[in-house]
Amino acid sequence: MTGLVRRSPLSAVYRSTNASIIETAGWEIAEHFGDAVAERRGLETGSVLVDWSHIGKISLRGPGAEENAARIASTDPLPAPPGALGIANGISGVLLRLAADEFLILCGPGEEHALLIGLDRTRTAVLDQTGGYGALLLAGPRRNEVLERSTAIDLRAGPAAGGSIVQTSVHFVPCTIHSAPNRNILIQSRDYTESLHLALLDVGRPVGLVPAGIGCVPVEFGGAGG
Amino acid sequence: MRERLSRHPCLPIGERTERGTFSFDGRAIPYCDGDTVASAACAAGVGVFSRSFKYHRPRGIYDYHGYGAEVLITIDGRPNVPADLAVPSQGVRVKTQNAWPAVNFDCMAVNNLLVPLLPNGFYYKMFHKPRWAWPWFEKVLRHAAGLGRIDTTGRHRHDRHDKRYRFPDLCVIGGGAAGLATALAASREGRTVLLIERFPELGGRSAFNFSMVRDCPEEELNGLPEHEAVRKLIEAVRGAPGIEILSGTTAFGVYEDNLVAAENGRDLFKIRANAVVVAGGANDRYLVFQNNDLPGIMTARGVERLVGIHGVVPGERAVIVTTHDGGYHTALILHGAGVKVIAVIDSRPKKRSSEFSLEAAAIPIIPDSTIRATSGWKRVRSVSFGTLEGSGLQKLKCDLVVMAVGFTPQLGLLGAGGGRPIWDSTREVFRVFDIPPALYAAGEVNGPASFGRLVREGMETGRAAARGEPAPESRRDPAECIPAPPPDVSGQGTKRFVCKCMDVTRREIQDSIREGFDQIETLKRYTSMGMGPCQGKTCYEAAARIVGLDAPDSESPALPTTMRPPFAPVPFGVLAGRAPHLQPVRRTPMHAEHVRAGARFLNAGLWKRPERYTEIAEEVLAVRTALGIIDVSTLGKLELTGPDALQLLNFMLPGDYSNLRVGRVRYHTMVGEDGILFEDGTISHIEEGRYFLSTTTGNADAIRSRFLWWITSLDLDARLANLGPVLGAVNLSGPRARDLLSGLVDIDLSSTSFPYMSHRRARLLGIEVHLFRIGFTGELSYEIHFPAEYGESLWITLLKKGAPHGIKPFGMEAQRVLRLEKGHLIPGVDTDALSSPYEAGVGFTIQDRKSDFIGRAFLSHARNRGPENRLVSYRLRPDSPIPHDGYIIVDNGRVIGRVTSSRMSPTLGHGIGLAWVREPLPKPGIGVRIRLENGREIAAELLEERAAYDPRGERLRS
Repeated sequence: MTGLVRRSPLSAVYRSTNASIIETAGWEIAEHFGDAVAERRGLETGSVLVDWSHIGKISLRGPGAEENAARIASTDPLPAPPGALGIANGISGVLLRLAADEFLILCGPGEEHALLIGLDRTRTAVLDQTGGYGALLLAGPRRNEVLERSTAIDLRAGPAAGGSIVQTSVHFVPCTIHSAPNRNILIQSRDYTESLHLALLDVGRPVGLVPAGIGCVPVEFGGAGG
Repeated sequence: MRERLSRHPCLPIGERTERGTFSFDGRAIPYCDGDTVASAACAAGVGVFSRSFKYHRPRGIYDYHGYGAEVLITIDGRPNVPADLAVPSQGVRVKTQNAWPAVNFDCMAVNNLLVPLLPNGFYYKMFHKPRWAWPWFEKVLRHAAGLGRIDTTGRHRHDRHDKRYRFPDLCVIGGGAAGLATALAASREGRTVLLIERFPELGGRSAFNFSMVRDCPEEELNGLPEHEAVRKLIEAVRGAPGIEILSGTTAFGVYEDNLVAAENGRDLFKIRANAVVVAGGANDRYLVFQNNDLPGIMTARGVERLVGIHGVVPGERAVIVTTHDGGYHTALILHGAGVKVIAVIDSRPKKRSSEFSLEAAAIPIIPDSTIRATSGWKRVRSVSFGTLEGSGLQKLKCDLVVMAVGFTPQLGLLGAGGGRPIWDSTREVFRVFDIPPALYAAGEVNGPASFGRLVREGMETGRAAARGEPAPESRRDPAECIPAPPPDVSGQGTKRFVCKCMDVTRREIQDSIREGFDQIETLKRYTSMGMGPCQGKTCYEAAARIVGLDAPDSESPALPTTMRPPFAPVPFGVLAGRAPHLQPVRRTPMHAEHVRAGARFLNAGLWKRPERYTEIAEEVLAVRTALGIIDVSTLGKLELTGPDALQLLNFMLPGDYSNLRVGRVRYHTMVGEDGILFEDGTISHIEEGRYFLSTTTGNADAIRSRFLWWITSLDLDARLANLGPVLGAVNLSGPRARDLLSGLVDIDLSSTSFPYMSHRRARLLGIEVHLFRIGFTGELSYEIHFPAEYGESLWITLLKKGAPHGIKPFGMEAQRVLRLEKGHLIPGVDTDALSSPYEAGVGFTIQDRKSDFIGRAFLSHARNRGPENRLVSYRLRPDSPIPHDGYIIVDNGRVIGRVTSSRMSPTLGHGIGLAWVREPLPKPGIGVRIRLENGREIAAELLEERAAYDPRGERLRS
């Protein structure tokens, strides 16, 4: 047994805020940041920023990526890039098509292992990015007020069925953003995650944004990733 | 203190609730709902709000449209805030500007008496002799110049300035009748609209106008007074789908591709719209006459806004100067507010029929006359008037002169396409005709018009913009056009201000023209006319018409000067945004532990890397004698796979990796097409057809991009994976490294099984890792690459388990000393844009027998030419000071090189370094000298071996 634990890129934030931490899929992740009721209220009336860094993340790139993606996609055919759809085989997740031969799979914590087994690596660069990427979830009715202060890209347009995908910078941090009707997931390099978290909270707090744990918004990709 | 109006016979004015007080130059002033600082102060009887820029003449509210320099104030240390836009709050401290000791008694007003001595450019002409006195003059002039004082106490350091973004189909600038109608029409076409209004309330001038609406396309508005009609229009806009309203927001620029920049409080809005409609309206026309700047002289709309919006009466005895029926409207509003209207001075002939009858109010009309001059100092006391020709001069006592002499469209935002305003002789206003596609003009920017006309034009423009059609033709009835009186109606006097912001008089313009500045653009630069806070919004028409009259070769009127954004002054904070987010920070997986250990950090690009944890020497000696651990997660980590991976490597790098066996690691360099060394690292053959390339921290992104570029360009079947964020990395370095690690991994670490420059996969504490037997320190070293999410936990565990072995974390600075003891170069530190790898001593990494690779031609040339310089190691005497990087090396007084890296070696007990030295090198052991900053020279000895420490490399191979 390893004895080592997987930690979120926000572990320093957890410590400084006395977050309540739980272990899930080998990860230490924040359940709440001290006031679960306030977080719930934020989700209903304001906006919340949740650390979802422990979700599974797999990138597919190059020849054969499309075939690999088709193998796990919930529907046929694959959407044209950029597009998103759900994952089949009983795994909760979303398949993001970033380019013709480039995909990013987001799935429940720990479910990346099962997905990796089924992917053909002979021609495709398959990479488990779970630890390499941070993931921040923005939810709540006022989240657009946070986004409008954070990125020059219009993320308010109604997303397509599986959610919309934009690759852009948020507070100068390169991000892949998956937008669904009720939330946005920001995926960024692990090393930028704390910086982005601080920036979002800084601009978001005046408009009702609060940090929240997975007790407030558990990981769930239901409804075609939406 | 004047009574607030609670009712008005013509306008819907209600009771106001007092909300608090603020301090105005130390005086407590109450304010009510909806007040601005200017309205509250005016209600409290404040007449003088500032002193003028040059002559320090008293200035008060003029047009109340938020652009004028007259009412710039300092609020809680923030200078140059327009008092007619600033909303007061409890306890704020307002200070007037540009006066000493006080705005009501300003010693600098002596300038007003020195007018003949202060011609244009007087500071260039008067103070250059005697020459020695200029520094003193400069100090005094700089102290006296400028408006307001920047607060340097730092108390605003944490002010928030957000940048916000909007993406409407249509952006409508101006919330008056035309803007509202435009927004409504676009909404009805199914478009999203962002409506921007400068004032807190919508409606524009219609909100305080009681004219009856006629010929309005919105039938239900006909027959209503304008203020009622516009209220209904506002309700319709608020209820329409897809319209967002930003009131209290100033659009200050329209740029390419319909980018609109707007300021809202402390935030900057960047609006990207499919189409932009400028419906910014018009201001009252500005006339030049003697003493036209006195407090108490106001525009008609300024007066109407004060009365209609704030219930504030700006005077007690008013004289109205007019050229159109609007002056009668203003007279009735003032009369209804209890002001004694002495007379309406009308330039038109007698007995005109008008919607606004003054007979019932017994307000006398003086026809065929206009203003000639006023008198007073801190307040206007009388007005002189006569015929337009200048005869029949009379004088009336008053404390308020209202100017209702037509309108000047606000064209600044329409200049985005480079179009210049042109005089429309039919409408007698300047207009911009050359407007780029997707930019539209609606309302009074096209000339004054009735409410019905404004709504109709707004509706037509809104529909056209929503459909992407060309702008509809703007029409006006002759009755809507207001003839322009002469721009300077007095013709004499020294206080006829053309530009009030910069205190430029008609006489100064005439003098400047005589000096040769007879074009409006050069005149502007020489006199500063139009360069003040209002940027010519008030005076651009008057200035152009006056230059047309005064300049002998000018068109009449002259073209106004070029309009450029920003249209309105913008605080630098708004433009800058907030600093903390302009540069994100990259943190390694172990960052929190470094913080906890008290590390001092340095910036390596965007990364934060520990520079040191304790004393440098302590960290260095720990590595040399026991065990050190360093976080090297910032190194670039690229994995190259695919059938053509080797071919790509051999093309990208100057080395030949065809014979690099699986499990082996090799030092590599990279050169550009010019053969210049810019990068080094290691390449590992980790399994058949799979290579792992490590790069320096600073070049990681650039090298990845470079590989991707060439994979695409050469059409190779190779794939590059960026493992940088995925893998954390540490280097365990020191003679005890094996002792610690062997108990934690599942492979044999002996030198025979795992020799120097090798790679192995292993399980470390149960997790899959890459182990590389490489290092930068010259000691037995293992570089461990592991899944980043384990970094913090692994770091803690290694320190805990390494404690019996004397483990210490070491930072970048110790590593730099350690590598310098070994003579290892750092590209970019020890090399520059002229460094050849042969001269840098890493020629062994080049195999130019290969068929082709990047930089081959230049490398061949460099090898054949032979070295001109060499990167060499040197050592200093134990008692020598350590020279700084970059100091020159001299030999018999001749400069022969320069130091690139220089440190004290705790291991060796003397200074060491790397230096570029010109060929032929002095013989090893022969001394050279390094020149210090004070000119003193110290002796240095060039080393035969590159490494000052363990030159045979026995320790790292142990």
